[in-house]
Amino acid sequence: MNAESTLALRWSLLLVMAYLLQVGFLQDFRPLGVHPEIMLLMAICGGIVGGSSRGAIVGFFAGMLSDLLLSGTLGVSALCFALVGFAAGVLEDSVIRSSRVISIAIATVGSAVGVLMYASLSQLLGAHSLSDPQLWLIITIVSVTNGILCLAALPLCRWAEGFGLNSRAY
Amino acid sequence: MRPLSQPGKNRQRSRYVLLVITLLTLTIITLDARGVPFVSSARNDSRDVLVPARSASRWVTTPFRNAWNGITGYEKLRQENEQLRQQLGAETANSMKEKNAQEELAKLKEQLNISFLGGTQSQVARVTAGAASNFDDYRVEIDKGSELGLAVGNPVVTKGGLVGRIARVTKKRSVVQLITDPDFSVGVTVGPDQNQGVGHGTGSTRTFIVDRGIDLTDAVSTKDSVFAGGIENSIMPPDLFIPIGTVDKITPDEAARVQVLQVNYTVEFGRLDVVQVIKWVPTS
Repeated sequence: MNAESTLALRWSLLLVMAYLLQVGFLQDFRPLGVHPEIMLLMAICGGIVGGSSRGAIVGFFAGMLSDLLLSGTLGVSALCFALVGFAAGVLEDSVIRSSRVISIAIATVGSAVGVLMYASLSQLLGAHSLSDPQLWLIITIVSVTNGILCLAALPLCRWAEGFGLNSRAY
Repeated sequence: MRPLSQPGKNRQRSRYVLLVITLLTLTIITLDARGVPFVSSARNDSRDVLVPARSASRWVTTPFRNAWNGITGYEKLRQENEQLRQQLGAETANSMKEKNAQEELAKLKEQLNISFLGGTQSQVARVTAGAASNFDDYRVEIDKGSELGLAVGNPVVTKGGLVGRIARVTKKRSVVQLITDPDFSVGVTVGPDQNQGVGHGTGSTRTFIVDRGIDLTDAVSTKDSVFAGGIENSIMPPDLFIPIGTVDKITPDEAARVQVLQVNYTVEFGRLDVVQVIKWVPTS
């Protein structure tokens, strides 16, 4: 098996595990009625660890899996997650020295942008998400929980990228 | 560890990847929004494929979910237990006084049957998952699908009344659009005079609004019952009267020459568990 196939297999495995965690547990783990968006986090961590194109690709597949759960238009999450994953990679590239704090900051801000982007795009397609009275609460909770969860997600993404769990790549 | 900055060639590749993915997702969004059957069937089939994995995952994580629910809902559970204990005590005392256990049983059985369904064909289903999105999409998933004869448009009820209608169906699962959805409009019959109007959800799980069709001269009063159905060419069966709720407030709208009715639902949307799907589809 060549390196590209191994990479694809590892990322696929990680995305499926994340998806199962989301539907199996995190969907019911609702601090203040809002659950974390681990698939969005995967896209961001993909961008942080593997660069902008990896973030976009991981974001696309993570978003497609998320869209299967939701009743909205197919592809909305895929587009938002891909764009956020790409932006996370660009941001991570723009810093001279990576650090854990910067990665957490990117995950937190990226999650906020991702949720806002999803709400805006869904609203354009006829949903009422942007006018949801809980919008700012959703953005806050998702950002904070993803900021915390990224500490666990980053080592797993590093493994998927082939750096090894103990690599110091943030 | 990857390099801190990518060479120009890699950046070009990244932009190319982003462009391709953006175009791909925009195509998928457009096709799905326009209701292309291929996209819908691919989506439905994928959902069906993932059902066993989702069920297994939920089964595995049951103790964790229960623990979390126990932690976050402890106070509520304690209050409910206390309330139930009191109710149970009162019920037991009443039963002992009346010494009429058979009659009590008959009453309970009557409560369990959904009287307004009559002989209409229906399918019992269980709500498997609430809203998957953080944004309220006014949808719930049930564990029965097209393999048991369910179809898009089937009304979904509980003994309390109308819950919604099936919006999407796969072989094994269906998605129900709740009546609380502001986009859910339905013809209604109000009061003993059977005045006909049109109402819609408001996004709240408490209030339904009837804002069309009830003229200022129509005799309507608070506590009147509001039913879906009983109307030809409606999205609900014309021969059934499915309760929605009771009129709570009446506001005359002089400009539109109608009465706007604020209706309290009879269904408790926070406690949806077992529902009945009526196997009837609208003609259009």
